[in-house]
Amino acid sequence: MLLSGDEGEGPTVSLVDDGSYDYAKFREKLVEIKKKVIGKGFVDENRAVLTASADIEYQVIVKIMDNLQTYTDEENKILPLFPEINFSKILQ
Amino acid sequence: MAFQPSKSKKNLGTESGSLNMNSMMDMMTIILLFLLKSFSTEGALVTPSEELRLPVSEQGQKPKKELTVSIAKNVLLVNDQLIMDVQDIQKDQMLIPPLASRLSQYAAQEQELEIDVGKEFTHEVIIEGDEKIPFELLFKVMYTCSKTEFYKMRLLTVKKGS
Repeated sequence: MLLSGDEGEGPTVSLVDDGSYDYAKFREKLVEIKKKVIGKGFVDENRAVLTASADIEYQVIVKIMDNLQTYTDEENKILPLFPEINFSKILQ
Repeated sequence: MAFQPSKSKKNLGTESGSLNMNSMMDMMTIILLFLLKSFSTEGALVTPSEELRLPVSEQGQKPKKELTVSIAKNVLLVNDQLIMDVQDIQKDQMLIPPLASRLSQYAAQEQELEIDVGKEFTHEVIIEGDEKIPFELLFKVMYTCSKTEFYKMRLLTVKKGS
């Protein structure tokens, strides 16, 4: 899993030992990014662009979307993470 | 002076009574009807099958009944009507022509309804995809939907624990 932005490529989240994606770490990184951009007046602070290789299973996409919806901050408030998801395709 | 017992009250004690059930039956019928009606058909009704197993998610809203595009393992359906086989989808083309033409028909119908009876065209479509379908296929279907005026897409999933 690769997170990228305008400034270039973001952190990469490697697979866990059994070969599946590391959703917990993925979430952690997203919350980190969210905290950097929140409240700075970006109009698209809730937006994420989701793209995947052609052969990625639908279940994985749904799981990623799940993890993009909300997060809980230190005061136990549930805040939107990146719920506005745009789909995009990698040009191969 | 002892009075003679009245003749009309002579048989009062021996009168046998029976329970009248009519009013209770009426009431029960009303309750039964009410119960049957309250089993509402809220949300989208999906019949799970081996060919179309929805992915599991943790979050989401309750779905409404809208036009559905189903992507099963081998076939593509719109409102449960067969459109085409998944193998027949062209690899190098983003648009899926049979799906597009069917969706355009629905869009035209909806627009006519909007003009004739004022039923709002919501532009909404529900996409039911099998959990194993590749992203490429999902993306092609979404692209086709957006090209035929159904640009508000919802992905149908099964909520965890329900």
